[in-house]
Amino acid sequence: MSGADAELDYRGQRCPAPIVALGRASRSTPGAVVELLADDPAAEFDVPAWCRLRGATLLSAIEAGGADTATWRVFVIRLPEA
Amino acid sequence: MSRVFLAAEAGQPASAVVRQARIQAESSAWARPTLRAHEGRVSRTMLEAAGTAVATAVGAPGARVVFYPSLVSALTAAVAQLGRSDLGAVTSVVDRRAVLDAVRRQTSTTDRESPPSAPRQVGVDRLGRIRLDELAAMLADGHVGLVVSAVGNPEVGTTQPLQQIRQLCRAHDVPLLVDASMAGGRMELPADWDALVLDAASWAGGNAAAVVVRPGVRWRDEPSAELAALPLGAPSVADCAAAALGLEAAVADLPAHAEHDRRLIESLREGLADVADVVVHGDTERRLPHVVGFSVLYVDAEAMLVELDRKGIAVASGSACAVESGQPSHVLAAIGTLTSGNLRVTLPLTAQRSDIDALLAELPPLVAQLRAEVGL
Repeated sequence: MSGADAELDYRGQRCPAPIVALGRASRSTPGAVVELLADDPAAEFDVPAWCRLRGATLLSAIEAGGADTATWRVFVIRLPEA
Repeated sequence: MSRVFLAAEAGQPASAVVRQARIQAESSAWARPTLRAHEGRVSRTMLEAAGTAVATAVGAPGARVVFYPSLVSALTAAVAQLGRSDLGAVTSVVDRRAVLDAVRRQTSTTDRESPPSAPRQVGVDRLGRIRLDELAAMLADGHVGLVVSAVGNPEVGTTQPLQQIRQLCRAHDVPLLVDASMAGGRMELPADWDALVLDAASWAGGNAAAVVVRPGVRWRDEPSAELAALPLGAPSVADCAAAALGLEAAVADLPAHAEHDRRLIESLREGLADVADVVVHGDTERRLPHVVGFSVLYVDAEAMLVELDRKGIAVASGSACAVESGQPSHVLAAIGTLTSGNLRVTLPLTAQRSDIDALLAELPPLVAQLRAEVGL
């Protein structure tokens, strides 16, 4: 956890599950900082696009996982205020 | 139940004019046009007439027309036979997969001592329009043998600034190949090209494709070694003749038919704007008349396709979950928009207002239902 208020692990789940999770989280905890893990290939594009559409702030986006394991992305996002 | 077909980029039935023309042509032009006998000459004459008709229909009488059995073979040949073969081609990041593949093939299947430089791709803005400054910089760098651009993007509709692109190309003496595979017969084509690729499918013209080459533009007749190795095949003369007749008929209906398409897509764009959290892509004004793409937030594209199909409506999608490759659309990724929940409408030649009304009636309740299922 990178000082986030909550972790959302959506590895293994297909589009649009990761951004659905962000949509739900911004209803229940507006303004919170969440860490989202996703390995769906669409997440790379959809998470930044969702942030732009919703007025959320994408604090960081990094690729994680190693040479021997599958890779995923870790997004840290400040959800929009209500 | 009558179907509402709004996925014409996947094909559309040949029009009655085209089917009739093909049956007639098959009865006389059945021999290989290269046969040195009367029967071959009959075919050859018909093929030449078809070429003349196509050149005239695209506003370039006197241009050379070469027919192919498919869009992929036409693009492959055009990329290989135009421009300088020792230099790489430049495309944009949003060109259709068949274009990007043709360019990659030309670069990789080579036994020359120094293969042409790797294909380079010009970036686009949020509407999907080519960044002219990037293209200018690539041309200024040199080592560009050919520039390829679409008339308009098949996924988001945005048209490209072909006039400015051609000016840049001319300044560097590089030919411009324009992919009109979506636009042919559907709008008045711009004149800013050195060579043009057409797909008869766009005007309900059956199975044929063509490359139109302006007089004075270099077209290498001898296919290069790598091109000769590809099974491009020859089209049937009857298919070419029928496609040419179909193009003439479609062009005769312009610009009224393009305006009809434009209005239908405009009302669809307006209707979609009333649905919460739908992002409609591309330029509202400078676009292909018959194409629109949009993304529906929080909804699985595949679920929408299945449910719409059940209600009798066929549309397409560029979302990862809805395509064979499992990869999100490179076009949507490049313009930085949502790749999930994507739907794509391409009007067939026969589209009516009732088709748009049907989609606009079914989509909002379906979206609401699918969102409710995920708690949004």
